[in-house]
Amino acid sequence: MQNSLFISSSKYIKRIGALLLLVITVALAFHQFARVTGKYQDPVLYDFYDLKRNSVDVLFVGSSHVYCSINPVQLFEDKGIAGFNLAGGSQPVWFSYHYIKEALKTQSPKVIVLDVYTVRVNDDAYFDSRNAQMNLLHMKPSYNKWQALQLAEVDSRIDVFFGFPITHSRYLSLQKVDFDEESTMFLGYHYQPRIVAYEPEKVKDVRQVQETEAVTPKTEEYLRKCIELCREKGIDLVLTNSPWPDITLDLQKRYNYIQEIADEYGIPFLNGCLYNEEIGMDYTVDSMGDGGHLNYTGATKYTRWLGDYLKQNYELPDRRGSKGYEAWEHQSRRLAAILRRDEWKKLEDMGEYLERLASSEELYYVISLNGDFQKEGSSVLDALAGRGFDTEKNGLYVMNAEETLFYSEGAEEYTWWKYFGDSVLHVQSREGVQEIFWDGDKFSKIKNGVHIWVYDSTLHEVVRKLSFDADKNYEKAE
Amino acid sequence: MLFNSLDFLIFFPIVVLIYFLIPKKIKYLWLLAASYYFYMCWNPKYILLMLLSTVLTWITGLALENFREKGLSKKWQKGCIAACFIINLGILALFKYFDFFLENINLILEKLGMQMVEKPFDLLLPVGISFYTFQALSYIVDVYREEVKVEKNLARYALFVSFFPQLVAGPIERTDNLLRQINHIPTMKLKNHYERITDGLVYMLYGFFLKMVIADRISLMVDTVFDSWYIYGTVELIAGAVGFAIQIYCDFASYSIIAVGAAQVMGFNIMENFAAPYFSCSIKEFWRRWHISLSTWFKDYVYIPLGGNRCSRGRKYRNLMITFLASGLWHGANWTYVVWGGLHGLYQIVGELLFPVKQKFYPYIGISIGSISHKLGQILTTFFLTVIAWVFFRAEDIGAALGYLKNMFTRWNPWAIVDKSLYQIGLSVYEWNILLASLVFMLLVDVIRLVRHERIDRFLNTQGALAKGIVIGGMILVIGMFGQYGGGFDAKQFIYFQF
Repeated sequence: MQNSLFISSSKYIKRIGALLLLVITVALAFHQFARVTGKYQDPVLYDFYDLKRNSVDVLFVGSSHVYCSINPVQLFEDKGIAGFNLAGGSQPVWFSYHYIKEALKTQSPKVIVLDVYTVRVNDDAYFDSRNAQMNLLHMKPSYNKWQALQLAEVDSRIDVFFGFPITHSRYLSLQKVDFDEESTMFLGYHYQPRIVAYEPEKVKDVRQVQETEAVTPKTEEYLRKCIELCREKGIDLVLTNSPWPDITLDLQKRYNYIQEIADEYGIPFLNGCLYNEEIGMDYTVDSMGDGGHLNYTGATKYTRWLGDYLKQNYELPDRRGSKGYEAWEHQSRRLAAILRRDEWKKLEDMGEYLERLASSEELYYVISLNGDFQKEGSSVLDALAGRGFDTEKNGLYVMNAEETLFYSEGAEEYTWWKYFGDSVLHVQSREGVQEIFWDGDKFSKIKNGVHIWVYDSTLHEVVRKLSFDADKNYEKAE
Repeated sequence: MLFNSLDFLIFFPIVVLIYFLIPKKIKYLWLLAASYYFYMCWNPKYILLMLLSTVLTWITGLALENFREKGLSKKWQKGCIAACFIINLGILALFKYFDFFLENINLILEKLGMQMVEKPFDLLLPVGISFYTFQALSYIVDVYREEVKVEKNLARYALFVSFFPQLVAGPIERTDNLLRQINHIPTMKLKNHYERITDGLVYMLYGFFLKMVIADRISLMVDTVFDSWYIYGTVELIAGAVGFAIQIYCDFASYSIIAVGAAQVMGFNIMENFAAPYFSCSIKEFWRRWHISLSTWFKDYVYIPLGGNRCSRGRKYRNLMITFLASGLWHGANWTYVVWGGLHGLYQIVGELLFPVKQKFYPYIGISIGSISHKLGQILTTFFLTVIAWVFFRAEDIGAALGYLKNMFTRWNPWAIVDKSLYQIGLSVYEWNILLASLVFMLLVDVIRLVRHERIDRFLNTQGALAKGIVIGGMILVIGMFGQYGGGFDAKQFIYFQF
C-alpha cells in the first residue's frame, strides 16, 4: 500500500515537474518574443524597468514636454543629478499619477518633477483610446495598470493590459533594431536636433495675465492625488510647465489656477513660460517649429535652469563616478557620440574631418579610391594625401584612429572582414572593383572616385557614407 | 463571448475552478448560470428568446408524458408536437428567414409590376439560434418516440439547451447523451482527473491553433479573392476556393474541438463533429465525416421520417434532395446555401446512378478498384466536388458563384504561379510560409486521426514526454506569436455562429 502510494506520488511529482518545465520554457520564450515585438513607439518604460532599484534621485513625469525639454544626461554631466524622464506623449495628469505609482514600486526618488502642460486641455475625452494605448501599453500588467486603464476609453482594456495582443502582430515588420537592447532614448530624453524658427513676434508675454480658470475636475482630482501621494511618501514635489512658444493668454489662466493649487499645498510651481528671459529662450533657434516642443539647444537651456533650481533647493547627491550609475555614464557616452556625429556632419573642410576621424578611438572608417579617380585635382584628394593616404593609385584602407587595420593597393581580388558585436564589416575586390559591405548591404555608389564609410562603435551604427564622384567634378553625396 | 478572446481565457478557468469546488448537487446550477452569462455577453436581450424555447419545449415534454399516462390518443401528442414545432420554427423563421422571405416576395411582386412590401422591422440574428432550436426540438421527438425520459427539472433541462461549450456553434447534442450526463453530475466519477483535464486542454489548444493560426490567416486571402473575383484568373480563383474549403473546415472544426475539449475538462463527453472529412472517398462518406451532429440530426429527424431509403428509388432520391435542400437553408437565408445543399444532394444521386457504370468501366481504362491510387483519385475527386459547392456557399449570390466558377475554368493564367501574383492577394510570402507550415501540421493530425483513429491529445500520450512537450509548447508559441488576435485585429466571429 505504502509502495503504491509512493509510486503514484512520484508519478505526480514527475508530471508536475514536466508541466512546470513546459510552462517556464514557453513563458520565457514568449516573454522574449513579446518584449521584442512590443518594442515600438519608443517604450520609455522598458528603459525604466531596466534601471537599478532605488537609483533615481529625481523623477521627471508628464507629457512630451518632459521628454523633449529635460535632458537627464546633461543634469548628470553638469551636476551629478541622477534623473530620469518617465513621460508619455500627450499624457494626462491621471496617467502621470499612475506613472508615479508605478515608479515608486522600484524607485525612491527624493524629488519628483511633474510637468502639468496637459492641464490646458478642456475636454477629458481629448485623451482618447490611442492616447491611453500610447501611454499604458508598455506598463507591466499590475493592479496599478488596471486602475489606470479604467480612466480611459480603450477599445479593449484587456488587450492594452497585456500589451502583446496589440503588438504581437508586428512579427512581420521586425528589424534588427528591435532585437537591439540599446534604447532609442537617453534616460527618457528624446534628442531633437531639428531647428525650425518660431517667429518671436508670435510669442505672447503671459506674465501680464492675472486671471485664473479652473482645470477640468478630473485633472484637478488627479493633480491633488499626485501631490498627496508624494506628501504621504515624503517626496518633494515640484510642479513645472516647460517653456513653449505658442502658449496663449487664455491658456495662462489655467496655469495661474495650478499656481493657486501649488500655493495651497506650499509646493513650488515653476512655470517656464514666465521665465523665458531668465532661461535665455530664443525660439528662433530653440524650437522644433511645432510651437510646442523645444529642440536640443532649447532643452539644454531649460535643463540648465531647472538643474540650478533643483541643486540649490534640494540635497541631491553627486552621483558622477559612483557605483551603480553605469547606466547614466553609458547614456552620457551615447549622447556625446550622437552630438559628435551631427556636429561633424556640418564640417565642410574634409581635411579637418579626416583629422577628427583620426582622433577618435571609437570610430572605424574605410576609405576607398576606386577606378579612374584621379581625373583632376580635388580638395578631397589633397586632404587624403595630407593625412598620408596614397592618392597615386587605387586602394582601400580600413582604419581605427591612426591605426591601419587593413590596406590593399587596389588588388584585383581580395576579401577582408571584421566583426563588430553582431554586425560584420566586409570589404572586397572583384575584378578590380572595390566594394564595402555592412551586414551584407553594399555601399558602392560610384565607379570612379572616393568612398568614405564611418562606423561608430559607441552607437553601434554606421554614421556616415560619403562618396565623391570623379565623373561629376568630385561632387559630394551622402 | 468568442472562444478566441481573452474574455474566454479568463471566463473558462474561473467557471471550471468553481465547478470543481462547489458541492455536486449544485454543480448543474453553476453551469447553467455560467452558460446564460456566456450567452448574455453577446446580447443580454436575446437570452429571453432562448428561455422561451427552453420553457416551451420543456412544457411540451411534460405534456407528452401526461397525455401518455392519461392514455390519450397519439393525435393529442402529435398536435402538441406540431404546435411546439410551429412556434419554435416560427421564431427561427422570423429571426433568420424573414428578410429572405420578404426579398423573394418583393422580387416576384416586382416582376408582376406590383407594389413592393416595405421591411417592417430590423432583426438581429440571434447567435446560435439554429443550434439550440434543433437541439431542443430533438428532445421533443425523442420524448415522443419514448427514447428518452422526460426531464422534470427545468434548470437541468435549461442547461441541456444552453450548455456553454456547444451553445452557439454545436455540436448539436442528443438528449440521451448530454441530458443523461447532466443528470449524472451528482454521481459523476471524476476519475483520472489529470489525464482528462490535460487531454481536454490539449485538444482545446489544437482547436485554437486551427482557428487563430490557419482559419483567420487564410481568410485574409479568401476574402480578397471572393470580394473581387472578377479581376482574378484561374490560379488565384483556385487558391481562393481551396482556401475557403480549408478556412471553413478549420473554423468550424476548431469550434467543435474547443467545445469537446472544454466539456471534457468538466467531465462531459460530447460528440465529435468532424473526422478528417477531406479524406473522404465519396460525398456520402464526406457527410459521415463533416458536421456529424447536424447530418445525423437531419438523418434521424428528417430523412428517416420521410421514408429514408426503405422505399422506391425515386422516393429515396426525393427524400435525399429534401434533406439536403433543408440542410442548405439551415445554414443561411440565401439561395446560395440552398444551391450548395442541392449540389450535395445531386452529387450523391449522380454518384449512386453512376456506381454500376464505374464498376464496369474502370477496369477497361486501367483503374484498379480499391487500390491506393484509386482511393487517392476518389479523395481528390470528392475534394474537388466539395470545393465547387463551397464556392456557392461563400459567394455573395448565385450570379457571383457562377461567374467565379466560369472564370476559374476559363481565365487560364499559369504564370501567376511563379510571378508572385499569389503574394498580392492578402498574404505576403512570409504569411504564406506560416500558413503552409501550419497546414502540414494539420494534415499530419488528420492523417493520425484517419489511420490510428486517435485525437491529437491521445496520440501525444503515446509519445515520449519530450515530443509531447515540444508539440504542446510549439502550439502555444505559434498561437501566441502568429495567431490572429487582439488590438487592431478584429477578432473574426466563428463562421458558424450565424447559422
